[in-house]
Amino acid sequence: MIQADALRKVYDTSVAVDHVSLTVPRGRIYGFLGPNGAGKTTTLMMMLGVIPPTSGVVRLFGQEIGPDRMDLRRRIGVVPERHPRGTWGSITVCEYLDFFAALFGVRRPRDRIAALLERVGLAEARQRAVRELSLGMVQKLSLARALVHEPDLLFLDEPINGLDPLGIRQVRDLILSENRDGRTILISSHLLSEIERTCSHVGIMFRGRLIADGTMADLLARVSADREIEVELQESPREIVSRITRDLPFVLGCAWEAPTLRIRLSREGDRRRELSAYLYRNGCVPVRFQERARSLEEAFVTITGENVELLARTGGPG
Amino acid sequence: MTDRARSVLVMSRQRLRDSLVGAGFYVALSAGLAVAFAAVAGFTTAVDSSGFDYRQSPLYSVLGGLIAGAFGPSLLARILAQGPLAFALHVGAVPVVLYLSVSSIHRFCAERSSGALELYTYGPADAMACVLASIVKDTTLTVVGLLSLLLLCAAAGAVNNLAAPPSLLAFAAELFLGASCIYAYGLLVALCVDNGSAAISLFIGVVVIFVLALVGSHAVVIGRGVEAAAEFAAAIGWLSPLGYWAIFVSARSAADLPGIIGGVAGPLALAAALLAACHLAAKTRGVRS
Repeated sequence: MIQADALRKVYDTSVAVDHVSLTVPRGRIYGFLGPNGAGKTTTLMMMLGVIPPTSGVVRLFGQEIGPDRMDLRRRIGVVPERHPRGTWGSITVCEYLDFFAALFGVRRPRDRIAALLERVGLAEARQRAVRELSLGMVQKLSLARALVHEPDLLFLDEPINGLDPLGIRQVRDLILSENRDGRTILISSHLLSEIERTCSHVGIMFRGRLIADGTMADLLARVSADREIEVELQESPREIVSRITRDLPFVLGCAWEAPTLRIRLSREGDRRRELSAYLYRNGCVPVRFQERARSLEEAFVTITGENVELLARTGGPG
Repeated sequence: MTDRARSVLVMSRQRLRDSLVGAGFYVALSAGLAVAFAAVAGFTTAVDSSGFDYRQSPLYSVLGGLIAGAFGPSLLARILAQGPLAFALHVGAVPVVLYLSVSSIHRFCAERSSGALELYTYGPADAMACVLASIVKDTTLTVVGLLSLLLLCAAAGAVNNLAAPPSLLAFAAELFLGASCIYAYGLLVALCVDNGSAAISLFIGVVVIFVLALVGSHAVVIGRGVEAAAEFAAAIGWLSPLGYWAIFVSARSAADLPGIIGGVAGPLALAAALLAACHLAAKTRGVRS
């Protein structure tokens, strides 16, 4: 659906994007992460054909995108980071969506607009002027606009920016529902917890380069080669802590922080059954058994941190 | 219908609606109608038994004095020779054309700096579609303005016992073509300059240069100034809608058919060239400020 090959953008002497290649297959929700100034927006603009790349190619739906490819653009919905609400003067929410529906040649736009406003929670604001809307409402309106022509591909740049918890939930549900309907979605966001909840695949941009790209599980595995299981026990495990690494070769380490036994395991295989049996054999009764999940935030900090060190050592771009 | 044709149609409809809802166009049109009415009314007071003498009317005295002082008496004579209603039509169109040009430049620059232009290009539209939509809006409102002025001229002529000559329609058509070129110039400037105020200033500068070129072509000044002004006028005359207007007016007076054709074909070719330049500028500059 999206294929970027060796994208590079150079402004005067600074390299904004450096040989970025990524592929987003149909039906996927792809999270595009990176700190400020990493080159995310420039990459997005090149993917949308708004900024021409210095070198490299972007293909959408298997065809090369460029400034004149209106046929490809009409299959895309975009929520930009900033929304020019002041430009729309006194026109109402409904008129605003009507305008974009007409621009895309949507048939029977009234029905589509009414359904969209209901889904994003703006049904009651349909007659309000766009310039009077709050930041969160504008964000929802922007999402409704991006969906008005039923695009195959959605580009969302900070889609939950300015939303309250209820709004975040509405937008998250909408994104997931649109994905279930078959839309491919690329989300660029700083809110890692939200990316973690919605995206199956993630790419991390850092100083113009794509330094990580893969499934969420791959990314988290890359951060940590082992797993950590927390076992809450009724009583102290006594000498188990010192013996367990000898008795069970897949256990890499163990620590007791009452009432929790923290056990570090290698990633191969699901060892919970063996672990549980071992604890019972040694007179320990597990009350709670939980694998500690690595967060995307940890992965992000670790991966970008590794790259800062690497760049410092190799004297790469900064 | 192609994506671009639909975009132009939808955006021009939106722009027209915005112009008709706001007060700006009505203020400009009212100013134009007031000036045109004053021009017709002033003419009747400047006519006595010896004929027309612009110095007898306060309005004509001021306007005529300004035109004669700036451009020399030959241009003034040429304008007045077309009759009071043609004069009223011309002076009445100026506020409308200037307002429409400046407001389109302002809107285009504001849309680009706010990101609205970028938003259009995420859909099946591009910067050139915005330019064409602006031109469609401006020319449509120009037709409205010129028709209003023609109606006023006809009514004022009837009240003051002045016959409306058929040439009035030809002048309105020529004004329409010249105005289209002015709008295209304005949008070309807006495409090249990010800042709205700077773009408007540059546009006014361009119009002033065209006026100076017109001065050059009609200058009756003493000494080396004559040659310099004439050379300047000749150098940029083919770029100026006012130059083609002058050719058209002269050709009509002299019943010179090739001149009339040149006066009509010139602004058409100029408008086409300006739109081509806009297309190139839109591609080069992109939609981001």
